[in-house]
Amino acid sequence: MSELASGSSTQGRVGGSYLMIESQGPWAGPNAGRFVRDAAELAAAGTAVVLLLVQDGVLAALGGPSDALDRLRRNGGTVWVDGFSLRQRALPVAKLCEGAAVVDMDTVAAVLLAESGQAVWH
Amino acid sequence: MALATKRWDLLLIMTAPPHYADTFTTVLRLADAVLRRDGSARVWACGYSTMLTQDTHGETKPTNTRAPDVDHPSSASIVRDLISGHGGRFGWIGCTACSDERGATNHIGEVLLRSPGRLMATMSTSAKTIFIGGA
Repeated sequence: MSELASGSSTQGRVGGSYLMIESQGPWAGPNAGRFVRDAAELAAAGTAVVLLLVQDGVLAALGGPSDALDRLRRNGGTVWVDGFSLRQRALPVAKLCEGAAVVDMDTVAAVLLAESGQAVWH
Repeated sequence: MALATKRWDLLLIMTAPPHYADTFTTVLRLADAVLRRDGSARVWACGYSTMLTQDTHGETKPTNTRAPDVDHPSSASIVRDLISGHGGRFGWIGCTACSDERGATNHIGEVLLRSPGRLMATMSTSAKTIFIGGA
């Protein structure tokens, strides 16, 4: 997801690129956490990863980050939070964990249209 | 001479039921954003998502008693406007098997109906496919 997502942080990566879209909140069941862990593992393996939190998925970025979210960032992954989903749930941007960037759907569309990576939804 | 196959930028396969979460809204927002960037997108509706484009919805939702003077478009109306308003850059496909199973066979005329046997062929005409599960 190259320069749109994280600029120089993707330099030197060896794998492809993934836009991973998490739509379920942390309390929906264990799979949401597993999905974020998968994103962190892909980033650790050298893949450029953008994790987009949308719908109830934005709840994962509130307060302190989960271990998986923190690991994803430390491994060079990017965390995007859908601004519309935040506003719809009256969640303040100020409560987001460090490193999470608020984006709109235009940013997501730009990535989907411009790049050759894969997109995965959960 | 064979006809050229139309290529699409994005295919969204929506098997998630439409009203247990705001998935339908997200799909519309994403499709709208792609269209604003002059891209093309289409949706393959499976499962209960086939209900979204029934002509029995009419043009508007039932009256919201807290805002009785405001008309809110039905899902079928929104899909129809997206299809007709973008010069062939937006499409909506209804799965015939899912429609038949649910008796949801009265789609608006703009919806293309396809057998699930053509899903792979449909995917092959799109640069990217996002599968939204949860049926």
